[in-house]
Amino acid sequence: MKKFNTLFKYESVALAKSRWLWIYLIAFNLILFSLRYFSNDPQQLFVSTMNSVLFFHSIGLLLFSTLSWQNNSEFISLILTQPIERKTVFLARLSSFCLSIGISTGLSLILQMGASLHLHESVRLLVSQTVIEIIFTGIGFLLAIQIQDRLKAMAIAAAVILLFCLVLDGLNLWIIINYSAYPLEKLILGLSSLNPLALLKYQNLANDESSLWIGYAGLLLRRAWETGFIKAISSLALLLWILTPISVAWMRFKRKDF
Amino acid sequence: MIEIIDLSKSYGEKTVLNKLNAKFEEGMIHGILGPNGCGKTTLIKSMLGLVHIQNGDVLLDGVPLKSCREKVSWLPQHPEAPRNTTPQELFDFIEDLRGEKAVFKESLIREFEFAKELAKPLKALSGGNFQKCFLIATLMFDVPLIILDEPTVGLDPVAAARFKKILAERSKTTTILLISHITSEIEQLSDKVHFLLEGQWAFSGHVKDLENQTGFEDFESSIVHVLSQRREAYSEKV
Repeated sequence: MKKFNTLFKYESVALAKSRWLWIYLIAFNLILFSLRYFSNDPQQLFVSTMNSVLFFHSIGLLLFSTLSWQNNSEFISLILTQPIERKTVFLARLSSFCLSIGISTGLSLILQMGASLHLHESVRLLVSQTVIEIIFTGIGFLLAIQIQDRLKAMAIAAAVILLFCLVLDGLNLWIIINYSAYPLEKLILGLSSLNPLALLKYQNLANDESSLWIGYAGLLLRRAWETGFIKAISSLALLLWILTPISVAWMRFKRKDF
Repeated sequence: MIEIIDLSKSYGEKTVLNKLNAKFEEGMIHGILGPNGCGKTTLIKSMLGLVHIQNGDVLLDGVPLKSCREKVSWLPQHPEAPRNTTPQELFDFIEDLRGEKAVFKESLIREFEFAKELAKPLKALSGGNFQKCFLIATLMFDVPLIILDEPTVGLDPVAAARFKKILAERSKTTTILLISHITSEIEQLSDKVHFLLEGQWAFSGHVKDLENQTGFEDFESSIVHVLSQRREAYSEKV
């Protein structure tokens, strides 16, 4: 535990001194401030903030976590020659990264939006933000561990972002527009299971009127959500998304030749 | 005493180390030489447990080296640490991680005139001072085995001379593996040289023995001779 604490502290100090973290935090705060400033409807504010948290935070985290690991790969080799287990190195790096980002962006969210949103909405956003941090830090670490070439890793990270933010959503929309006469709930949910951002969106919006803010898909979802099966499958898919990238990243790290 | 027994490592179909055996006696500087890609770095990384070997053992006084890493200190060829941290933070971090006091830290800081660099971020250090920082981090512990990969790269002549003096002093009580492409440095510092070629030792012994064996009077010509002989033998075999 002492070794974990030592590495955790050192990594956290290095992250706190990173100018990229501060640039990211300023951008994140600017987005939250603009949303709060330009939005009058509290429900619209919740949906807009949720979308910003989902998309901006996932993009930022994926790029930042990939870069952070790649920039420190030689240092990680050096640490691994010290009397410390690989498991401790992985866990300390993961937790220092997730906690540093989580605390700084979580505080930004509470300070900017706490007064304008209901308590349950703020809690939902904080939970979504935490889930995104775990999923996308896991994917970022996995890409960096698996791919030595920095440019190639960044290109694949960009492709993953494009897939989650644009391609899968676009495909859903295309199916809804072209096949609206058919029962689509299960197909849409199946496709959405491939996208953790869509799953989080559904978890946040399916229970109330906010679902209408995501259009026809929201309407379909709200109807289907009332059957517990869809809710359970969606929650299970999200749980798999939380566990899989980190587990695979750890298995690759354990077997990696440095 | 370091013993390497039947060490084998392949990357895919490429065999880098093929049942390699060696003994590095204690209290000596062992120079390890070899052309690019001959397996020097893989050998060191296999010893340290950074790469997973297919077969073999590396023992330090009879104990597997990977289970007593607190007894080893390594300077990689391209050392790195978060550039926004300071040398002082790095030294404290490594001390804390090893749970051990760095007994030679203060004297090394004095020898390398490094005190005024301690509070600067690593990114603000010159190439030479950056290398000094990691030399101090490597040499500051009293360990039985020190592995140095190209240690004098970037050092000015004064710092390089001081480093050689420190190394000669430490070698009285410590086994030192010195990897370098600078043959004059290996010749000057090493008690024994080990020449690695295509995953096998082409020569292992004292510098004088090598010169006697090849008939050349200088170390560099002897090395070139061994290298060309081995290459000819390899071509004939292929």
